[in-house]
Amino acid sequence: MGSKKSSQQLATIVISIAMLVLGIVCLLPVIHIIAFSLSSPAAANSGKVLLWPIEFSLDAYTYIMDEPKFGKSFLVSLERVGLGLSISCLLTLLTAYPLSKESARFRSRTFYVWFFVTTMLFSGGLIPTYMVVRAYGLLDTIWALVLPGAVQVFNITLMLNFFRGLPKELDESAFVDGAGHWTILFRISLPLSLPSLATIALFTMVGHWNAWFDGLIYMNRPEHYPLQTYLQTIVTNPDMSRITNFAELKNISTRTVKTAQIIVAMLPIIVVYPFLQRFFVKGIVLGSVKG
Amino acid sequence: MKKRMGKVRIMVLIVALAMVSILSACSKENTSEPNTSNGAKATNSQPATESASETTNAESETVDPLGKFDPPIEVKIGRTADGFKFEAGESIDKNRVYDFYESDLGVKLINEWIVPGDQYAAKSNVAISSGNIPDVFMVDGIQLRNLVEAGMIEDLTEVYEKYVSEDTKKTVDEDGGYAVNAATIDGKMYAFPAVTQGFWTSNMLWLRQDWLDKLGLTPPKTMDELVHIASEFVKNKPDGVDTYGLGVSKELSQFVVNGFFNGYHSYPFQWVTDSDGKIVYGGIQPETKTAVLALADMYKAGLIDKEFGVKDAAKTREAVIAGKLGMVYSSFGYAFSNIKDLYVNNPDAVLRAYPMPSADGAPAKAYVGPTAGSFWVVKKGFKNPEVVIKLANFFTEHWMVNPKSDYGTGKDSGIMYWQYSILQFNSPLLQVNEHRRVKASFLANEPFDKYPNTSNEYFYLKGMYDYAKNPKDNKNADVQNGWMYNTTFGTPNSGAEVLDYYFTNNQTMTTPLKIASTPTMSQKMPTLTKMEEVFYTKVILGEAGADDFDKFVADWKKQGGDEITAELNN
Repeated sequence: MGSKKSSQQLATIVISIAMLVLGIVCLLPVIHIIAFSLSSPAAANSGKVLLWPIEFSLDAYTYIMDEPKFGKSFLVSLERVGLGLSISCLLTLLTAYPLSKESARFRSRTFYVWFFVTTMLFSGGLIPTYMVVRAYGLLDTIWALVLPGAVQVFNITLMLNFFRGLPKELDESAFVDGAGHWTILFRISLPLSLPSLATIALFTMVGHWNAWFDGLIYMNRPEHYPLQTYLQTIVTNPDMSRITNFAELKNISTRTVKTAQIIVAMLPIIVVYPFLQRFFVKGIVLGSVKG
Repeated sequence: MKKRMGKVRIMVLIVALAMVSILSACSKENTSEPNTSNGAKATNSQPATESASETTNAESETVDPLGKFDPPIEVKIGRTADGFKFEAGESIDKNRVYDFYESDLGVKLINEWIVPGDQYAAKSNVAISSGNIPDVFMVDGIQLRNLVEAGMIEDLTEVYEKYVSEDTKKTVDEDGGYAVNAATIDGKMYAFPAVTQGFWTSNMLWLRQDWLDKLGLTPPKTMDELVHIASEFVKNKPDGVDTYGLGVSKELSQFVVNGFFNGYHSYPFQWVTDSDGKIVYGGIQPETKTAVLALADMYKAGLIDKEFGVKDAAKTREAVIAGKLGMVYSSFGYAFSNIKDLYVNNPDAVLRAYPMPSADGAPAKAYVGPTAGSFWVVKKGFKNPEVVIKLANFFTEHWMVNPKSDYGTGKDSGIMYWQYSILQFNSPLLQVNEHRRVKASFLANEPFDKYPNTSNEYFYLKGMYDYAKNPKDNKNADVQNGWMYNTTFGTPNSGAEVLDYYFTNNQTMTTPLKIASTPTMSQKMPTLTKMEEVFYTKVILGEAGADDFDKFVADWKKQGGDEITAELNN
């Protein structure tokens, strides 16, 4: 018995150390970037900076504050996440709820399920999608970033399965009490599904925050770019063999500014993450029927 | 029963979707057609005006290359805008340069889209694939070919002949006709070439002069001397830290050590003319084998960073700045990047450029690449295709021949208004000529305000004086810039001076290519280049040897190389 306990303790220690190492490995690059952004350009460019700033300087951050493009892109990203999150979650809920019902109660259910699944398997491709967006006159508007990906079938599946896991008795008793589908969705199913809603909200949010390619394709002005598109344009290394003017050459010297922008862009999502993550903890549903 | 119904529905749905996707594929292929028909219609609906203008032209016979459009026309453009600054109240859509175009040329420029330079390819590709291009915009050689094949752009042969100004023609032809040739497909000129310099691909040897002096060494004339210097650098650690001999990074195809190969008269990743006057690929010639094996020997001797295969050019620059590396091959503009920080960290650092040493008696020749990689095209059906030529004339006249200070650089703000202009191009020898002027002025001790403050020479010369006055004042931003200008444009042994040396001594190998790309080239060249890069890396690391070279050559030929060679020689 005693040996079992001590071996368990040993296992705990080993696992803790392994996780600690893993955590540090994940954290090191971030610390390096922070140290880099706080160093003087000359020190940073000579590759001396590892985990602690050398010749401490806040110049890179003051530069960003004065750089109107960064702020503008930041606002576009916030707007995009705000709109995208609310629209996406609403549409997902409204789609997942009926689909979670049995075929007996929702006749064409199978048809619709396959309808959505097919879109998961086949996509129009870049150019056709672009042409659709153009035809709807969405180019260069925030809606081009929000609407095309608003209904994520994967999220619907997630939500749908969660709804199905809810005891049917809850619905039935609500019906008996005279509730309609809207009431059941918003007063019963939704509150019980907060963990999965939080999950898809997190997915959507991170997805919107990180997306950059659509910004580049659909937006016609750099000042309409969301933050990640803007960052992408400043952090990519130019192909040296294609440089044919001095402006491009000079551009590669501002690495402290680039790292500072990466840090600032990271902050919001880091702040939000822990708050949403606690919703991942499940088990809320288990108690609801027994009570 | 119900289940079967479901299945039927699914089948119907899948079939329907399949049809939709097929249909959409069809319509994608046809995208160019509506454009062409639109274009045809547009030209058809315009016969009256066109013939009218032709007759007026025929009557007057003299065409004013800078003639104003009356009434003014609107031109939708796609363009780049990187790091532009504006005076209060101005923007890229409304500024003094755009107003100038409108008032003096009768062209109202409308930015259909604006994109940062390094994303231009992605954005313009989407525009082309979706069949929705601006009236006037810039494309690369491959896109030009695609646009011509899809019939999406205007033939400019006639308007070019008719409207091009003397000065514009002089600049465009300065490279001996490459640029115009590259813009011509099947005998028709489809674009105005944005002429630039071909020597950005030319390598030279950059050395820490203070290290050479410290160790009592002289700049290398032969490859053996180069290896000797590299080993002396490694042995003596002139800056007191572990030192690499020769800078090499993983992007071999981006000309990071091409100068070394040139020393063996080898031209990897580039096309050259052989003794029979035929176009051949430099990477598969026997000289390349010798060169890459010599590089492998240096690696074995510990003169090259052991980890070069995973380090990019930014890391090599870091090593130079940190005083860990004193010998690199690069272009004449090497010091114009963050290399400046070498001097910021160490006031004694002196970086000098030298012509490339050679393995035998014959001098190494620097490779001069294409002088036009970008082309301005006009959308099919646009009423005034001559606008692109007139815009080029306008640029030549007001920014090159008679620069207007109002549209150059702001006196107090330092804002560069000239950047707002479009259809920019410049002389294929621009920086060499600038260097010649600046050097002469510097040696004659002429004041820098001899040059207008809109010109580059003004800043270069001023910087060189700043540096010459206080060479050790490395914390002063003006002197830092002076160091950079002096190293790039000054004398002795600046980057541009070595270029000048190459050109005056005929030590250049100019690209034999007369076109920007061939069909197979646009398809297979990226794969072949990657293959070549991987092979050289393996040889340098010692994983492949001399015997594998023949196999590489055979593979290269088989996987499209032969095809491209044949196309180029046709």
